[in-house]
Amino acid sequence: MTVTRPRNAAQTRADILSAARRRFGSEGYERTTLRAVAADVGVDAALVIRYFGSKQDLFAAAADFVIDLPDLSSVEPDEIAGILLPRFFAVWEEDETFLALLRAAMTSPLAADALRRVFAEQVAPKLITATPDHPVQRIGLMGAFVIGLAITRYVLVNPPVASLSREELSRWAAPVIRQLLVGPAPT
Amino acid sequence: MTTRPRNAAQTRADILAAARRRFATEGFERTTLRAIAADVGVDAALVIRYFGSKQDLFATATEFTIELPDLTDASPDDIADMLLPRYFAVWEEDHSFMALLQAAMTSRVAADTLNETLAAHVAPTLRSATPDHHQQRIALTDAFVIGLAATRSVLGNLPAAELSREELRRWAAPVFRQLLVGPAPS
Repeated sequence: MTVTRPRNAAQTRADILSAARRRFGSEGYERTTLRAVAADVGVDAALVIRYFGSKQDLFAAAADFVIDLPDLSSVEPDEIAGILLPRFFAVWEEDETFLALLRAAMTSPLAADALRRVFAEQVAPKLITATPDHPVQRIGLMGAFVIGLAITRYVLVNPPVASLSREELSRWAAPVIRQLLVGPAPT
Repeated sequence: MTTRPRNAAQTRADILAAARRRFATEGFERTTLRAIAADVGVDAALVIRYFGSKQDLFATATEFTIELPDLTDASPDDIADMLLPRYFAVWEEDHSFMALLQAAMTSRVAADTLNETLAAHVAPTLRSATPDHHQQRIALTDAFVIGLAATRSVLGNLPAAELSREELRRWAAPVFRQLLVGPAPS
């Protein structure tokens, strides 16, 4: 579909990014083409390249997000989940960036690597500030739990998970987060 | 495409393996019977004769069995040890499950199939262990299990993938215990 309408550069960039997220999220990295993304927005593929570079560059820009977690070193164990969960919900629900990355990561090694970097650079260093010992085990299981919540609630829309209110999900997730991050190490 | 002598059982198995690869990497909607047939070197009509429609083939290719033990009389401390080996067998050894999980990320049909399998084959067993708040306990347990499967078997590059099974079992056990039989959070 080609629609010609007046645009400003900032709006066009934003439109391209959101079209890219939809495509990468629903079709995966390999099958998404710059041409299809351009067509979704009604611009020429050359413009997408001018703004963002290669498909890989566009993916990096579309999957780039900031998850702002606080330092947890002086937070009371009972309060950790209450601090983390609203940030996680914000990332999951604010826009499509995270879910597009997650969906793409399940079928593309390149996208999986982008997800790993987000986890290693933005999530793990903050979670580690809460852990008294066994950081690899604690952070590993915590990462699996958070990814599992996101997949079942937003991607699979698994009825038992998706029908819980945010509040109820948080109540039941809190003791798990507490156990994984700061609970007694299992024997 | 190659022509080679085949027996029906081997051809069926080859078609199912090709179907799992296609559905996992391309999703349900974009996979065609023609492409699967070409992967195996047979005619699409043969695929249809053996398996029916694309949806029928998908159902067969991604059908997995997870045999969970009866947890009714299990002691809370034993539940994780009873469940985890069964889960490992599905996540790490069953290609049908992995294909379904990957396909479910981009396909509603596949996601519904996975949800129905969890509801029909996993939830009743978990329910036999839970003292109260069945839905919440089962929901969070499913989320944890799917997260472990995704990080270990599909993404394969997050810290959870580096843990040995034994180590994972040790650290997952208190989570299963808390979610299934622990005190309900206030």
